[in-house]
Amino acid sequence: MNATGRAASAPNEDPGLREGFGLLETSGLTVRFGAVIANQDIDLRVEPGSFVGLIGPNGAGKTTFVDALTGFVPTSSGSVVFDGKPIDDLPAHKRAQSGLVRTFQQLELFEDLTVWHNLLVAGEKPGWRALLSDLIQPGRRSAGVPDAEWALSAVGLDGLRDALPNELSHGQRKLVGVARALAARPKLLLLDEPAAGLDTAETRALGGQLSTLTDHGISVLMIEHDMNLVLSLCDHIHVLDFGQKIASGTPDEIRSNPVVVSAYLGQSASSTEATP
Amino acid sequence: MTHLTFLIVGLGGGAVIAALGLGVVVAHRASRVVNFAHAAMGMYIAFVYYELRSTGDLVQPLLGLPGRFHLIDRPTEVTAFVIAMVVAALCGAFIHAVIFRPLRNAAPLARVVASLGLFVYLIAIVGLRFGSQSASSRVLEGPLPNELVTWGDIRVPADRYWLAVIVVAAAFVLWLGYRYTHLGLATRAVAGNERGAILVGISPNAVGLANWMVATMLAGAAIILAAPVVRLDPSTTSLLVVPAVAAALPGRFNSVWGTVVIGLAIGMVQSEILNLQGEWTWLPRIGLQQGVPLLVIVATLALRGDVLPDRSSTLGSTLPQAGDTRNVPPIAGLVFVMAAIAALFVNAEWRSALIVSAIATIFALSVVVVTGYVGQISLATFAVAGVAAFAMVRASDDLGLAFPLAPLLGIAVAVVVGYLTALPAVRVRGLNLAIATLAGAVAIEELVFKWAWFTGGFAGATAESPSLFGWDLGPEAIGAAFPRRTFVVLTLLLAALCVVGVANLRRSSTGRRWLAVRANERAAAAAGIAVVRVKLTAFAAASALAGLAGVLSAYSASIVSASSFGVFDSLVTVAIAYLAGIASPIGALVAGGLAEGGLLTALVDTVNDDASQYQFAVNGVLLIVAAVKFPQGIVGTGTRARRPSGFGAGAATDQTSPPVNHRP
Repeated sequence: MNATGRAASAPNEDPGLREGFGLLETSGLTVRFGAVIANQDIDLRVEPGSFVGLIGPNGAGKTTFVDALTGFVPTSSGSVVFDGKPIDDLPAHKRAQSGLVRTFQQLELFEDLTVWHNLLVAGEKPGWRALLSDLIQPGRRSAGVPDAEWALSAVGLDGLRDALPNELSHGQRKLVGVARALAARPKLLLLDEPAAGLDTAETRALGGQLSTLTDHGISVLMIEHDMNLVLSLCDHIHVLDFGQKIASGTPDEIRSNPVVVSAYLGQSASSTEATP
Repeated sequence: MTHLTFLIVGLGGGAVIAALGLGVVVAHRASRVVNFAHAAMGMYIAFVYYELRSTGDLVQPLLGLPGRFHLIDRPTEVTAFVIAMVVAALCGAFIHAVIFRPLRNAAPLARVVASLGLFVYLIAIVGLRFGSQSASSRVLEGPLPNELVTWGDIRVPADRYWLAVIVVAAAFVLWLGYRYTHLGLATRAVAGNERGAILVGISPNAVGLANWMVATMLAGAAIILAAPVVRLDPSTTSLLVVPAVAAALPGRFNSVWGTVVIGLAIGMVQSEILNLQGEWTWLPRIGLQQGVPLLVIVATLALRGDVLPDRSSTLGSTLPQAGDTRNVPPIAGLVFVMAAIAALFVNAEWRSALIVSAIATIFALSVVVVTGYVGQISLATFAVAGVAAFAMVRASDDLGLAFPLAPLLGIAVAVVVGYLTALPAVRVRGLNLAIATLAGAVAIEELVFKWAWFTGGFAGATAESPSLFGWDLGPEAIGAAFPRRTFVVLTLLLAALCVVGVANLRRSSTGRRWLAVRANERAAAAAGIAVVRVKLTAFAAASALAGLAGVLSAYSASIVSASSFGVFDSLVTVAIAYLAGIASPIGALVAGGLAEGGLLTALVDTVNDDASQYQFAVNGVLLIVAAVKFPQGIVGTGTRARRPSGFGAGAATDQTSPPVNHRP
């Protein structure tokens, strides 16, 4: 993590990404908390149909970047274009409704709702009249059912439909978090450390579920420390350190990039396991 | 010069606010709780003092023990004051040991409810111990000199100056104490980091105990010294906690000098408003003064808080589990049929009890929606209900609207007012929301309910009896036929429909969004839920329920007066709903039964004529017990979190115990 390495590689751009519009495009995205600059001038693109990794040491500003994209922290400058439209002025829920859906690093499930209702509530888009129709016809079929059913089977949790979150294992809760995001029918899914706290078998299973998402037309931006998972799933990787993008490229390029190695992967560049 | 005179006169009221605010700060430092019962504690101590002075009797506050015993003949002011301070210190120690120490790690709502329970209990116990005297019309001779002091053109009673000097001196002592004594340093250490303080050998219990004793003595001294200025009356005096909280809020319940300065300023501005009302005749004659604390609270909260809580402040749900409500409609139907059949046969006393319980059920449902289902809190339920009742009377008297239209218009107005009182909920939550809505309720009481055109002044307003196509639906009848059975059944039917309606909302998309917001606002927003709209919709629904309850109580009383819609009733309603089970429509039915004047009262009355007067006090005790021991309430306790069969128990064994304290 030395300073010269960071500064030298800041304009490291992948020339292949310059043409056309990305699904998500940030330019000069900066987030300040008082005097602390958590994200500085981040330019990043996610192409439709791609699986993109976002890696970097703890405190690099990865989660802050996702918070800024999804409207959970205000950006100080810069802009975000999603699906061809600027979304800087939209509140968090509008961004989610437009297809930019995130998961959380911590287990932020709705503890009072069953797994099924956790998904359903994300899939429903009820209007103003819902209050009145719900008053009279509580049992009618929800519009969110198809999305929720698809999301539940996409993560392989059909058997846990009626369980409450506090009855699930940590790994299952993480999967419900992913499924809830899927039930909102994302165009771009932002995963914040989906494998944190999972054991090896669970991580492998998660990887299997995630690898099918792009087949369903869902692009993914994944923050993750498990380099096996990142290198096996992602077709493009961005690296953050001290709030700045220090590198981006294909998994092979990242693995051999000396700046990334010194900032994050560590000296044993061939080792693929990074310490979280 | 009159402006200056009024500003100086205002020092008296300001000093009381500042002194109470200091006590709120002390209690907050000790237990991180905003004690809504702070002024009520002072009120009780002041009653002890003035009773000692006039009869020499010591009045003790514990229910079940003899209320008073003779202590000393004609004590002097000093003796009486010392005894009152000893009583205050003992009360503070007791309150800390029994209520706030056990709750030191509990959810904010449990602490709010516990302090509401204490508030209700203290008012009830003063009512019991002092009877009709408690609405004190006695002229109180305070310990401070009150002859007029002339300074230039300004002639002001001396006690105003004394009060200001004493509160500044008290603040100075507190400030020195927190800065230089061992106890003060220990308190600051505990307030800053309780675990760290324990590691260096400080006992948070001893620190809490000492601070609660100091807080209670401060409260007692403030009310004793200021009683001639502020009048001593159980509920009015207890509500002085609103300006006191307003004074302490800008300094985040931590700043001694900030509290004193803002407290004195509030009092002086209030006094000057009184002057301006005299000079500028176009100003409304009604309680603009109460708007001052509200303004301070709203301004402070508006500058703080975020639409979504930040990453560190999601505490998870600490409310009882909101179970499935599929079985509620049949239960409500059964209860309705039984009650309606009973209404045909029972005597007038029981019919009145049925009406009271039905209306209280609707009030409790309003709390179930806002607090039980959406995790917000409103202490303005009765203020909103009162607005509906008076708006209905105006609609039928002035606009000539007939039966179904006038109450519907009243409810619509209540929804608008409820929506406005809920606006702080967009940015603040938990305790601060409780403060904001409490201030809103007091402001409605002072600004709207004292508006004679709207409420008919002291005489009250007469609600025209409801009738549809010539069929009289109202309660009015001659002799034993009152209240008429038609009205009883109508009220029961509406209550049952409301129970079913809330149950229906719970198990549909609306309820799912409510519970999602209650569980986690950030995650709800991430799932595409419009958190602000969901909250405000819930407040609107709750206001409609409160409005309906208000309209029905107007019909049942026929004379509507502001005193039926006091802040105290709102607190009691939240309290009883919590006690009965705040996250369940069945809980609201139980709450209806527990309400004062309802079925439980009627039952107790048939057993023993005297017993029902203890109901408020007992409710207060039960509430504290519920907050400390049984957060699930009557309905929730005993029902375990459901577990689907065939599912491993190893997942989360720490999650099954009653305080549903989800992962941090």
